[in-house]
Amino acid sequence: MCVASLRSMTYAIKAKKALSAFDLEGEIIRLEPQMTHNGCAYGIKFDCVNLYSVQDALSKKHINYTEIINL
Amino acid sequence: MIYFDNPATTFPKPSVLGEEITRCLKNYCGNPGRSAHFLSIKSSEKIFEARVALADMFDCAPENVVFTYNTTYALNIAIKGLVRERSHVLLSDIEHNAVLRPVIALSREKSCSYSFFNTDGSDEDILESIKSSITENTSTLICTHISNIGCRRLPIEKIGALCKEKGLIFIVDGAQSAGIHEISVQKMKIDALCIPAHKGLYGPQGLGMILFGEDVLGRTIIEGGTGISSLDGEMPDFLPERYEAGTLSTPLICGLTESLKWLKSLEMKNIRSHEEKLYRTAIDIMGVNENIILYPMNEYDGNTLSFNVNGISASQLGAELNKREICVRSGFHCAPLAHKKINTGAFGAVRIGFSVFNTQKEVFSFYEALCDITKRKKPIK
Repeated sequence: MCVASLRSMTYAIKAKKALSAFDLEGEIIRLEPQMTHNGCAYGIKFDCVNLYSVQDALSKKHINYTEIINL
Repeated sequence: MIYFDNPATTFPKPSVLGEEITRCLKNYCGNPGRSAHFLSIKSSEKIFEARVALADMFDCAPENVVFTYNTTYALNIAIKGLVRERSHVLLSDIEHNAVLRPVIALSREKSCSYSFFNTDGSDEDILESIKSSITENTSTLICTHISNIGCRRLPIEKIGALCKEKGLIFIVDGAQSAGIHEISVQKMKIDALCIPAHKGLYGPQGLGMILFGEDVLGRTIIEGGTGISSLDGEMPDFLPERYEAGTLSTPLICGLTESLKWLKSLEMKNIRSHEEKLYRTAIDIMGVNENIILYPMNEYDGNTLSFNVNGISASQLGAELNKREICVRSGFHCAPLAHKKINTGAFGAVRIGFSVFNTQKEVFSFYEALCDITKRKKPIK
């Protein structure tokens, strides 16, 4: 599975809605401390086979993610 | 009971508001943005729904919607966060204390100066007054959209365009207009629109919002937990979390979403038309009584009217109306500048304002009560 790390819960929800709009599944998760640079953060977990579709969906909805992490 | 104190807070509220607040408290009131368990995420999703509804109504991005306790907090955050130190601030001459007092405080704490532009005359006259008041050091223009004691409506779209042209930050107090008049943050080039939930949006008290324009980020005046970047000593450098320290009021925010849906179903133009009809009726019937002094800042398109009655103080009249279960507000309405403008700066006035729930019959009953009081009351010596 892959995770797109996002700035906050607000952006995680926005990202989840963006994926839904493109019929893509995503789950909001709290990131492990080692995945973040300065403490609590959220991300959206998705199947890596959809990586390009997810990147495309987030880009089309103008949602910036910090990085994509392969779990 | 007749409730005409709607400019202070609308009452009653649509039933969906209370129903949703209760539903939230019973079913999904987790702490939003703090955890990834289902209840916290549900709260966060419901709050995001409110951001989307407000963003749709006021034409900005959902993440640019910041929740605060009320409009005064919103204005303090915007004013103290965005006004540049040692700069000049331009205000209208009818501002509420929610604007005036933070600016006066800024003038002391950040060595800012301020002056007022004149709101008399046409839109062009107002723009001319603004142009002639801008100095090389002016950084910010702050104004109300509509006065809270009359219905003086400022041409904020034109003012916004002028601010953009001159490179000024533009902060708008939309306390009396949100929900009644169309406001587009983007089209009107507003940097920060400050509004309450509990007036024209028919939401709960204890909730206000700042709707930011694009790329607006100022200093913070309240710092604390945001549920993110917890190891960082600084507040996040992005919206909305930068200005949302501490737990948000999930029940109130979710209640507001339902009020907004209800409001949308009624359509803003119908609400405005209904309130204007009541306003004109009040002016027509009160205007023929020689004992009543009206202060209509706008004769046709309003919903708020201030007045006095010869021989009775505003507070006495308010008390007499209260005995008849009629709720109005007397005094200075936290707006000393506007009262000065209508020559009531020394003694205040009585204010009535209408909501979608008021009727013509209530306006007539109110007038009958007014006549009854003026007949019985002896003049003040």
